Amino acid sequence: MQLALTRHNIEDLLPVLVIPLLTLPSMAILIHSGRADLAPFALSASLLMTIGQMGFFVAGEVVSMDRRQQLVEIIVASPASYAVILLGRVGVLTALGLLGFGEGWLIAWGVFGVPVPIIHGGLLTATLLATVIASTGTALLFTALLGLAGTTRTFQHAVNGPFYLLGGVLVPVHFLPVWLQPFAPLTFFYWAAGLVRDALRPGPVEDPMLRLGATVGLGLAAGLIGMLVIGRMLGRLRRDGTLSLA
Amino acid sequence: MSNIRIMRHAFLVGIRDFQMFWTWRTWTFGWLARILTSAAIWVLMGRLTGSPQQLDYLLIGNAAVAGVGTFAIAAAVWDRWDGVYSLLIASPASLAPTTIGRMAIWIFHWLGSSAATFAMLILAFGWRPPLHGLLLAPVGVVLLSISTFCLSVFLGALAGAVPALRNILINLLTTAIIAFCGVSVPVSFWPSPVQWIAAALPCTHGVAAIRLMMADGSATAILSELGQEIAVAAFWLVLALLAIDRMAERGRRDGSIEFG
Amino acid sequence: MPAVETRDLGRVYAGGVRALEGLSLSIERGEVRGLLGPNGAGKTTLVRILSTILLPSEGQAFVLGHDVVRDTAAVRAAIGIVFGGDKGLYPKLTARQTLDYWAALYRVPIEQTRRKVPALLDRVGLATRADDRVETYSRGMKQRLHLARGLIGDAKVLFLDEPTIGMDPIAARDFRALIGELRGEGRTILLTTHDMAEAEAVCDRVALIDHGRLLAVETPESLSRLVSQHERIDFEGDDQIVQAVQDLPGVVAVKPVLPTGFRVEVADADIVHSVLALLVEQGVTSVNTSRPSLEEVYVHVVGDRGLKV
Repeated sequence: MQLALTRHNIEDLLPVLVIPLLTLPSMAILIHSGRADLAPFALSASLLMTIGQMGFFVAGEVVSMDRRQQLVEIIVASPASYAVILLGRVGVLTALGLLGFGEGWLIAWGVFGVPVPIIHGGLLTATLLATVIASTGTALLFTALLGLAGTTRTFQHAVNGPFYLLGGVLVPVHFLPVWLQPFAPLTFFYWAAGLVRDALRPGPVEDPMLRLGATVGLGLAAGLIGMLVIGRMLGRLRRDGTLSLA
Repeated sequence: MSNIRIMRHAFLVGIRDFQMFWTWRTWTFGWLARILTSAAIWVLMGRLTGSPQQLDYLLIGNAAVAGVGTFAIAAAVWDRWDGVYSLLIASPASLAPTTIGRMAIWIFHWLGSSAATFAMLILAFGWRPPLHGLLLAPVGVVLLSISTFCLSVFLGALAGAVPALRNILINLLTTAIIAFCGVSVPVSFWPSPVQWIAAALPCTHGVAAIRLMMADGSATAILSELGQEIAVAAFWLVLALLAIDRMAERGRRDGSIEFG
Repeated sequence: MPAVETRDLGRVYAGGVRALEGLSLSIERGEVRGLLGPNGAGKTTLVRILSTILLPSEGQAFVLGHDVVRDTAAVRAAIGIVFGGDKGLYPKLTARQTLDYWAALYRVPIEQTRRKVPALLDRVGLATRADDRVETYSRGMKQRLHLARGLIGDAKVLFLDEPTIGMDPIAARDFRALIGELRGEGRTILLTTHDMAEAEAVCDRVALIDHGRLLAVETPESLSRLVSQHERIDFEGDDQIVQAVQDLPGVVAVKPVLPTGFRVEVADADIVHSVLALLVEQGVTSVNTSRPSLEEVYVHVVGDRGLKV
């Protein structure tokens, strides 16, 4: 159903269409500086920013739209669990964000003539899958907090930037101020970005299973909290007729 | 005079638009959080590449164009959403002052974003631009904001025909500015056709002027770039005025202008 | 010179959809003309052409002698538009700010604006809420603000497009009273509606339009006769009562209506009274009178007159 909705609403696909275009300036900076070898950084950014945008921004819109069309009350009144429905829809949207990797790769190759080899294909596949799971869970939490609580618009615009910076999706965290660095591993972006870059570079990969586990684990934890929050808010809706968290 | 009066009133509508999105609190902690982290990420690429020149280049470019191009194009279609577009067309006044007046608030949004980014980069990155450069830079930022605004009015007029494209146009505009207009890499990095296009885009000459200001460039060179930025603004303004009228006539012909 | 005149006006949309065809009408200065028709009849298309936001495909239209296609500026300076619904106003502006803005758009000098805006707000009953945001207004209040906005340029010709749609009956009645006042000022008003009662209450004449064509132009009296000629009474009763009703002079027919009722059709409004009196006398308690719907009136009009004006 979400795919059908998305096909009709081009705006949902906006992040998939435009975020990977940021590979243009990022690759330009790298090549202009003679550092084409850092192309995997541009690709990890393209992937994670697209997925992040699809997850946070678009998923938040899903709930806003449901609220505007007063569907939430209808769905809540039905036997289906709104949380489960949301999970499915957010999952589909987040999975579409995977296209960000492919587009970024095509730009690096087609525009700049830099074909980034996929050295560890299995690891990359596992990382992409883990990223979808993690992003879905995290997006679910944010959807619950932002969308259902009705403060969507403002923080939709804001929430991604700090996560991308902290998670080191484009620039590794050791370039951040020292006092910020300990917080980075709390985001799944941190683990996913590192894994994507390692999958695209020769040489052994350190602790892949641990890092994949951290990626998925953080997402699942966020998702679980998200489901609980949604459950609590919908319970309040049934009782009081309002969807507020307070 | 009457057009100024109309723009004044339309500007009030624009202020209300802005207030729908932001309070001072949410603008500061929401919007600025996004803009500043975005600028920081790009600037950090300078550290990633290990090139001090690249770092300096990114500092100036990202401070100058922070937030530029966002929102304005979307504002161009809000008269249709409010259901007043048909009434505006049927009034004796021209559409241009109402459209421009309503969209103009976003110039201030961009100027505020740029100012905050200059401040953040100075504080967070230890950037020490020359004082005279810092004092002159606002001139460049104002001019590039105005020329970006003129292009936004033009694109906004086109977006009236397909409102669903408005956010795509905003994103394409902001990405093009970051990529091609001398913000991240020199314009000369790109192939000639891209350079010619960049020369006609807003920000290219304004950013170049600001770089010259920071580098003790000659007054002639600075004024030349500023003059070209003004020319770009005028070019897009003329196209914008034509587009606004054309789109209205198109709407009258194809029947797409509805009441309400 | 009439205030509004159309000559064989036609409009075809993309895909060959014809909204208006060969429409010729003339509205005298100072007249309140109703344009009555079901949804999709072409009423709004006509108003859009006259208000210059839509170009005709065929024919011509004139407002105060100015061609709506060639002399657009002159038309726009002389007209006001009021349409129904929630849109058409800036929700975050106050009523005062709204009228100030539209005064600027209609080039009303600033000095005049300072006098006119409070006067108009007072006239439409919004003076006490003038500094509240439009988004806090009821539908009726928004409609009154629409009317004030339509009057800000001192329009000589007003187009009211379904202005009372969605309004509660009291608000609609008050709005119609305002229209009556405007009629007294000599303004020409074209009011589109699909509410026959509204058309009858407010208009000097009513044009019936359907499928883009003008069917007839009637005075409210003849429209009323047309309607009341076919007024009906529904009741529940036995065969004996049915027979008694059928025997009354002026009763056209008594037909069964599912599940257990009967419908009486009468030739004249006066007969209704006699039928009701008889039913009450016979102890019938379940009685209901109704007027024909717009569609049924149209069927009769088309049946009686074909498509001739």
